[in-house]
Amino acid sequence: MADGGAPPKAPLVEVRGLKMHFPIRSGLLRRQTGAVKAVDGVDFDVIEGETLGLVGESGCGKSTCGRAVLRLYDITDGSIRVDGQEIGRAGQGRLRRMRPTMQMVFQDPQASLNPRMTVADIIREPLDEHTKMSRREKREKVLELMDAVGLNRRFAGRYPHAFSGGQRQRIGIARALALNPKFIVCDEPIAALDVSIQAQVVNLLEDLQEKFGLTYLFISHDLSMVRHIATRVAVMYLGRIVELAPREALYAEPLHPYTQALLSAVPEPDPLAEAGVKRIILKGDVPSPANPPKGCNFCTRCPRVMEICREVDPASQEVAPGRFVACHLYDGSPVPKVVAGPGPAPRSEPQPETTTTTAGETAAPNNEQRLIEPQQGERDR
Amino acid sequence: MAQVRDNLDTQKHATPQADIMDLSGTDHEIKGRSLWADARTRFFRNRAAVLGLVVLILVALFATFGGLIAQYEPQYVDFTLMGANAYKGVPSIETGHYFGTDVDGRDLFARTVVGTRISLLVGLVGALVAVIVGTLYGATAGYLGGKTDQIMMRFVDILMSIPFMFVLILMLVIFGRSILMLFIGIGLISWLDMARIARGQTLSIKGKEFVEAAVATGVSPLRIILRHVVPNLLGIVIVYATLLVPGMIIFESFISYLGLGIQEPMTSLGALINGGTSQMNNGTLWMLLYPLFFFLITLFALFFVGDGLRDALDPKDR
Repeated sequence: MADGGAPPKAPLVEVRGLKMHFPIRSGLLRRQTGAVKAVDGVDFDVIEGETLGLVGESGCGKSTCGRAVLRLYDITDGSIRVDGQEIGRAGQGRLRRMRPTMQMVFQDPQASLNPRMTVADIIREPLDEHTKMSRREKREKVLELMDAVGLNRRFAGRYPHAFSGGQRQRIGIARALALNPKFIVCDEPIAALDVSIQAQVVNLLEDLQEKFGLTYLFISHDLSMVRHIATRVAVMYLGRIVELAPREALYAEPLHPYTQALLSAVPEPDPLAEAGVKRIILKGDVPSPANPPKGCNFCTRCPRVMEICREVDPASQEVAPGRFVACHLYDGSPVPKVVAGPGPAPRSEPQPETTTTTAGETAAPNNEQRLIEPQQGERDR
Repeated sequence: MAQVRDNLDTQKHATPQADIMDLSGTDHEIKGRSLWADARTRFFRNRAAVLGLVVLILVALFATFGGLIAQYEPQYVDFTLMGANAYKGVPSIETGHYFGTDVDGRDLFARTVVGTRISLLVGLVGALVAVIVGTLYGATAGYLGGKTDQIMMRFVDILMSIPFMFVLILMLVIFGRSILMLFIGIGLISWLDMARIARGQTLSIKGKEFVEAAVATGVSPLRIILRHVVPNLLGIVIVYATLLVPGMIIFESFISYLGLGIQEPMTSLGALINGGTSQMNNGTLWMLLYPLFFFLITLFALFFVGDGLRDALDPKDR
């Protein structure tokens, strides 16, 4: 996998000001009386060949964001460029022809496979839609794909209900790969799987990335898994990206108070180190996305809230190369003023890639290390 | 097969991923059991349903080939029996009137064959129209959603609010009483309920991820409806269709009972039962009982088959 300090390449996906509001209708005439702002002004790039992790707690808009990027929804506002083509406003007819570049792996492998179709039919469907291959060529391609994702060729005639969750997810991955896409949105591809299977599927995704040069947007609430697979990580809270940074930098030194709280909730496998970890417990509930607070979305729960937070919505700013934070704490200063929480004391070096393992980071998995046993997910609930 | 199983087991122990990895090249492909095959097995395990199916097949055979056994034409009027039906027209094998004669001296066996045929046909046509038109209409409305859905379903609501019996009677009076008119009438009504059921079911299927996956793959809406939505609707549609057939038969019988449906010399079970009831007091009960028997066993058989199908195609996802 590429490390955090990869030379900057052209972004494959550029998302600017993405908004996805779902209307709330009420009354006799079903007039729109409000909107659930599931995604409310999100900017990010996904650079070719990298894995951008998108993390956040349940209901923060991660999945909506992923689906909106693929235009599975008609977005409210914003621009999305995939492989140089603007798709933010494209009609579904034009989008259909552009679908081969971008694909999706779904969360629930049970629900994402049509129970009435055989595995071969499911994997062949994209080929039927977008290629003019002969029957034999398609068949050959399907079997190749099954090999690539580690499914026995002889199972091609079976139906999805005959497979386990991990195998089903492999079928879903094979289908996503059928058209040689460049960009794949993985929407919590491991959340519905057994812990022992999660590692297999994540390793498969990594192998395929290497083999086919794929670019992933990896949506997950499993911070350890994201740390393992992602090149850069974006943290979402209530429809916004609050922090976006290279993986190492983010995990070593989270800047945004929300990221600090989120990371402090990751269990520490070493009991000695565990005693030294100070957890930041957020009070209260996430505000409703239908009625976000004035100013910063996080101001209702932020342990370090200031006056300005309740008035002015913080813009995303680059506080260090490649590190974006939307927080007033860093207004006017590229170097973090105060850093508390689980991270170490303020550091002077601006290059986050050079960060060495610090006291709070003893459990950081090695870059090369295979994730044999992922730690439990859902810790951000 | 056993050998393959052995092979699989040993490999499974060797590496935990054995069952998902290629194990022994491409010997032969395993034939998957589809949900339909599973349902068929479950259906044939249900005795009542199988009995219903057998009865239904027998009734269908009777309706199709019964005419070959009949000794008389259904239209042939035996004038010698006039006024002597009660003792000369009794069911008997010697006279060749197996089911006796009707009030006009026509062979009841031949007429029951014709009546059963018409009744089954009416039921089938109604169910077929319901399945094809209703399913496609409902699936389209449900899948497209939004305004299209609103308009399409309000149209169904409007049609449903019209008292169809009344309209059908008017149609039969204005355009003349013919089988075609009856079929048109039944076809017009039968798909409405089906469209609603299909739409409701489509709404839940539409939210499933495999439909989203198809959209993400770039499949056109029409193909999504045909390939992903309709096959997953079929279970409930088939069950409903088998329950619709008896409804249609009863409906036709009622129309015929009113004297507006099938016209002489054609007949249907409803018309025959009507004729039988009017002669109940004259000691010729067979005129009622034979058509009634076929009517009842057909309905019961259909209900049992419908029940069996519902159990077999259990909507519980697997």
